Parts: sequence; structure tokens; C-alpha cells
Amino acid sequence: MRKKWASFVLVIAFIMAFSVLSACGSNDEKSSDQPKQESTASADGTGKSDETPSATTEAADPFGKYAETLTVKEVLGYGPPEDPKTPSGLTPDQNAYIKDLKDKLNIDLKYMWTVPSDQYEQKFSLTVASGDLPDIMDVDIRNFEKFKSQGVLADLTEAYEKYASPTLRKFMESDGGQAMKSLSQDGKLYGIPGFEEPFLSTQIMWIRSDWLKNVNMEAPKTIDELEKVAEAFTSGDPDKNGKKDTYGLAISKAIISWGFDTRGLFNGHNSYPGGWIKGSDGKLAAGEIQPETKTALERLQGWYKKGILDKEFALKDDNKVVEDIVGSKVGIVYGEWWYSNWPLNLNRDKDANADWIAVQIPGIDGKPGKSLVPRVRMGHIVTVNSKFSNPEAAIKMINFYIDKNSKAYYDTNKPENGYVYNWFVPRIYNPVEMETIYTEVNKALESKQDQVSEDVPYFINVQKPLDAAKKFLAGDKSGWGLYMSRVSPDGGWGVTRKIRDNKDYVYNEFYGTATETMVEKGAQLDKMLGETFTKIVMGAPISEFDKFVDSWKALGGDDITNEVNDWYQKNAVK
Amino acid sequence: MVYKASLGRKVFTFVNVLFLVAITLLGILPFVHLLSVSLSSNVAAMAAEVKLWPVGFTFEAYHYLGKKVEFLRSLGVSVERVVLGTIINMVLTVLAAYPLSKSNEQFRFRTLYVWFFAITMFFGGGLIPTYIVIKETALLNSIWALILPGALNVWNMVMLLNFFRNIPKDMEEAATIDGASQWSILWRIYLPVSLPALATILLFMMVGHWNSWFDGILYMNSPEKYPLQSYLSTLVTSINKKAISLDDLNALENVSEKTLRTAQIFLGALPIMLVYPFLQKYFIKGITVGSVKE
Repeated sequence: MRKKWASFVLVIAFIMAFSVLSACGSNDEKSSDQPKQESTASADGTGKSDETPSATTEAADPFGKYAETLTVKEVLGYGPPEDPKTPSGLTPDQNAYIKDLKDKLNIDLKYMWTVPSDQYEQKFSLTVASGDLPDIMDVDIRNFEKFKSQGVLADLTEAYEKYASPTLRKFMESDGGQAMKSLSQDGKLYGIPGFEEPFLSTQIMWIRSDWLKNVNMEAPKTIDELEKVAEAFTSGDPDKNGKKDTYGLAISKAIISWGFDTRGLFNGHNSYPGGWIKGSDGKLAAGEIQPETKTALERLQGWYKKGILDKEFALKDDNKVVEDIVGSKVGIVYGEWWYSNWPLNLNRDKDANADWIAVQIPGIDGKPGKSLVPRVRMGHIVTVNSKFSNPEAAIKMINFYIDKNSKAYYDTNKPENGYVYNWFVPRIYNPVEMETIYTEVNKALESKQDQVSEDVPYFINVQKPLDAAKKFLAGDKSGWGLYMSRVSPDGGWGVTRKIRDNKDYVYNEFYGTATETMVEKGAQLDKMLGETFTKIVMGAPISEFDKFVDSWKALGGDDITNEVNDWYQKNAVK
Repeated sequence: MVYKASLGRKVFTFVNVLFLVAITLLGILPFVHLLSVSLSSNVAAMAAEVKLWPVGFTFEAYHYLGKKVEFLRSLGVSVERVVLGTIINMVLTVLAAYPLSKSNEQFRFRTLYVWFFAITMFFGGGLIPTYIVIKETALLNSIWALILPGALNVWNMVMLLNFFRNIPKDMEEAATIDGASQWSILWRIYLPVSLPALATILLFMMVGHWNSWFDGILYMNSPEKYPLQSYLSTLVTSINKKAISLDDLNALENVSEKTLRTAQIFLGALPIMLVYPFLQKYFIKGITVGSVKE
């Protein structure tokens, strides 16, 4: 009996010990936390009392220094420093940008945590769930909508009006203020949009021009011509090594993705999977279920049979496709303007004969194809926690970052001095940067100058392509990647802007946030699409497509179509 | 003993050896490949020309790595974690398994206690509650956040418990008659005869601590506190979205060299592979054979 009691007591003692321990823990946490909060609060408080009088006197100084140090809490999703010249062992807290920010604006930027960008979303939602929002947040559109509806975002209207630097204003007005308007509600601005020119998404085709010469062919303008070229690339020994070790068109297992995929080929068939296209009845329809998509799939299926596509494409991720490109195994790839600076340049490093050109995507009916282009390309939004006392700090920090990248700091703002750009938040870029680079560099080349205009924002991003172009044109082949992607009229951006100016594209008419059913069923539908399309390309009967359309509609596609059309009625610019 | 092997036996031996060699190669070849990629030139590596022998042999990646503070720092964190974590795991596992291996007569409510532990194997709080517990107990951003939540692995404990139960009762009884306390029974009888089991769970613990990376990313707030595997995971990130922004593009264009990545992955796997041969000698069976006369 006694023993029994003893063990009971033991159990209870255990439980108590645990609860006491954890209580201690949380007490410690609170007591260590409280002074911190108080101190920031007092700093904020004094900052504010300073602010009110100064706001009236020096209201519009976008670079005004705070009299009292202002502590700003942020979180950072980071990648390792991209430049190998960055001092070894540098941590995000030691980023030279942060030191300069303290010197110049008296803002003390503190990262609550930093995490690899892959894990950012998960860690961010953990932080949100545990009720610990940072002061300034760089969020995606989904989180923006969520936070806005929860009322945790500060109104930035006044802060922007008073503190935005001229350059920032220029950025925001580059699209006529559309992007900012889309983040406003009832006249209140809830975020600063990080947007880019939508034509950056235009699909073009990259093709090995030295192989074209070897097989005596011209760059294809139609899909039928493309098929002939691709066949020659597969069986005509385009690399002249006497072996049948090449294939025509590079695609990865992701049918619709960010690169090395089949979007361009579908677009060439007037099929727009993943896009919402206005039909003849004025309503929006999903591209993936249209009959044109079926035609494109049939074509791909034929190509797979002929060996124009890699027999193992269904197992290859983007890394594997890049290996094929670099290893001179393949001669045609669909994609965007930037391929020449990665990975095509690596192919040229490897194979001295290799040369790639960019062309508009081939189409059917004897005409070039029209690429799908989004109406809006907004990757991230800078927002401020409504509990944060100094929302204008966010605007000032954006000003600061833009200014730090101007010509004035060209000589000091370098990775070897500890400046790591992807370790600073918030960053807002020039939305029309690519166009700026193209025109500025070509202007400088024409007038034989060594430097682009002094007042271009993000000076280094413009100067670097000019240096590369000069090097390339003087015979040094290492400048090819930058020159071909950003400067050459026949290069990636050169071809893209021609397509833009000729209006040879199709808009994706839907640019709202994911609708209710999209959130719920979208992933499942995407998965079904990927599986069905891959199966068909690999030889499944084409009737599978009709089955796919039926299940797509039944499994939520119809609901999504209705939601998208409701949205279109209300919001779209027509 | 010399005997003439029958044909069937010969065939069996041949097939068996072939089969085992194939399995071994399956395990070894990826590492050989990794090693040769890390010793090749970057262009050859990018073009997937390297198979099992380096192409354009160079030590450059390792040379660079020797100066890379991030790698060495994370290695230090990992070693600290393995040492501390394994010691704590081991002590707790043995101390929990021993009493629970006794019979219900010796230890009342034994079954209840076993269930108390076992239940945690099947039910957990989930990611967010666990995170909040770690945060509220002020463990966030300290090495203890990686060690304490898994301080007692119930699965290992149950394994050891079952091993203890299979030790003949007579040994414990003989020791008791000779006047041994529970402590000395555990220390001088149970542990020495359990070396194979201890070596096995030791290996589990070490490999577990060495390989886990996700908790490092969740609970550590800055990269200088990442254990090695969390750090390595930052190097092999891939783009997983539908459109690529100019920022992503920058990352792609400047992506760290493939040879460097493989060199770090290889070095990351090396220490724990080296542990196996040293533990090999403890994997011997039948240590209790002959200790008891039936």
C-alpha cells in the first residue's frame, strides 16, 4: 500500500515540477521581455514627441535623421551573399547597409530572426501565429490581403505623401499609379508595391545559332518550321561530332513553371494554360481547358515519339535541364529574356562554338506566336504594422536604400565592403529598370561614353551592362551574357521590347489575389493538370484531355471561373 | 573444415555476393560521385560531365572552404549539439528504460508509466504549439532548443527497455544476493551486457542530431547559430514558384558554384560516416550467452 502511495506522490511531484519549471520559464521570458518593450516604447515615445513639432517644420525631408534612435524590428528571409567577394563570416546584423542606416537616419534596424528564404513563409506564419508581428514587413500579396482585412496594417498615405523621395515617386508613377491604387482602400494606402514591368514575363525562344548553321536552316517562325529544325537537331548531328547525342527541345517535368517549361510552346498554339483569356462572349475563360491546348498537347506527344523531347523529361527538374543545356545536349529552349546571362553563358564557357540567339516564339497559321503577359507583376509589398509608432520610417528606409544605390556611392557600395543587398529590407526597385538599362546603355554606346547618365537610379545595375557590352564589342567574349540579355537589340530584352511595341502578346486578364476556391482547390487542380499533361505527352490517348476538362470543371474549376468573372466585372480595367 | 561445395551452393554464393556488392555500390556510388564533382572544375560539373572520376581535377573548392567562416562555424555548432545532445539522450534513456524494464511486482504502475511515455510517440502538439512552448520557455535561439525537446526519444527507450527485459532475471537476483544496490546492478551488470543495444541507439542519437536541420531553421534566429545541416540547406535551395522576379534572377546568375556546394555536402556527411567503423566492434551478439547456467 505504501509503495503505491509513493509512486502516486512521485507522479504528482513530477507534474508539479514540470509546471513550476515552465512557469519559471515564461516568467523569465516576460521579465526579460518587458524592459525591452518599455525601452523601445519610450524610445518611440520620445521619438514621437520629437516628431510632432519637427513634422511641421521639416515635414518633407525624406532623409531626415531622428533625434532619438528609433528601433525598427524586422524579419529577414535571406540567401547566402551572392557575391564571393563578400567578407567571409559576415552575418546579416553586420550588413554595412544597417550601419549606414544608423549613421544616416539614426534608425536601429533589428532582425527578430533571419531564415533561409525557402523556409521564410513557414517561419513567418509561426511568428504571426505566436502574435509577434515585426514593425516593417515585406509581404506577398496573399499575406497583404489577409493583414489588411485583419486591420493590422498602418495607413501609409500621409507618410508617403510627406516623405517619399523624388526617385521613389518616379518609380510609383511609372505605371500611372496603378499599382499603388490597387493597394489602397477608401483612400488609404496600405503598402508600397514592389512591382516590375509585366513584359519581363514575355515568352521568347532561345536557339543554338551555330547548330542552325550546321544543319543549314533558318530560325523557325512557325511551329511547323520549328518541328523541322528540332528534328534536324535531334537526328542531323548538329554538333558535328558524328554521334547521335543531342535532342531538339529542352523541357523540364514542370509543364508550367518559371522557366525551362512549355508555356511558350502552348502560347504558340494560341493556348494559354494558367492564364485567363477573354472569350468572344466577353467572359474570362481558363486557358488550360481550351481546345487549342489539346492541339498543342497532340503536337508535344508527336515530338516525344520522335525523340525531339528528352525521353526522360518527366524525371528532370530545372537543374537537370540546365545541365543538358550547358553540356551542349540540346539546342532549343523556351523562356524569358534573361537566359543568356544564366545558364546559356555557361554553355558558351564550356563549348567555344556555342552561340545562342533569341527569337519571338513560333506560332501557327504562318504567323509568329503571341506570348501570355500578366497585367501586373507585383512580387512583394512593403507594409507597416499598425502598432508601430513611426510608419514614415518605412518610407525613409526605402528612400535610403534607393539613395545608397545611386552614383554617389558607386565606389563604396560594394560587396567587399560588407554591403549585402539581399540582407536589407525593404527594397523597392525601379519598375522599368530593364527598359532604363536598354536605352541608357545603347545611348552611351552610340555616343561612345564610358559612363551612363549620373542620375539613373540603381546606377550599378546600368553601368555593369555597359561595361560588359564594351568588353564584348571589343572582342572579349565574357561580356556576352549581360550584353545579350540586356543590351543587344537582337538579345533577350531587345526582342521582348519589340514584341511589346508591336503589341504581339495576349494579356492574362485576371490579376486579383487567389479566389476562395483557388486557395482551396487550386493546388489539386494544378497537380491534376501536371499529371494529365505529362501522361499525354508520354503517349496516353489524347481523349484523356477531354476527361481532364470534365474533372477540372467538376472539381472546382467551374466555381473558380465564376469567381474570376465576378472579380472581372468589379475590378478590371477594360 | 573442407567440403566440396555442391553446384547449388556455388550458384547461391555467387548470386549472393553479386547481390550484396550491388547493394553496397548503391550506397557508395553517390558519395563517390559527390566527391568527384567536388574535385572537378565548375564548368564540367555544371555540364554534368562528371560521373565517378573528377574532370579537370582541382582542389579549389576545398581550398576556398577552408577559409569560409560560415561553414566552420556551423560545423562547430553541430559538434556541440551532437556531443551535448547524445550525452543527455543517453543518460535519460538509460535512466528511464531501466526502472520501466522491471516487472509490475517490483515497480508498481509500471504499465501506466510506459503508456505515459508511449503516448507521446503517437500524439504531438503540432508545429505551432511546439514553437510557442519553445518561445515561452525562452529556449528560442539557444542550443538547448535543439536538444531539450528531443531529450528523451521514446522509441529508443522502448528498444532499450525491451533489451533489458531479455536479460536473464537470474543475473539480477544473483547480484541482489551479493548485496548490490539498483545503481550497481544497472551500472555493473545491465550496461556491460547491453553494449550492442547501447551502440545501436548511440548511433541513432548521433546520426539523428547530426542530420536534423529543420529545428535549427525554426528555432534559431540567426544564421551564425545554425547547425551544419541547416546551413547546408540554405545552399541547395531551389526556386519553387510560378514566376521569377529580378531578385530571384540575381540569385540565379550568381548562384554559388556547384563544386563548392558538393564539397560542403560531402564534408557535412563525412564525420558521421566515420563513426560507423568505430562502433562496429560493439555490434556483437550473444554477450550474455553462458552467464547463466540453466
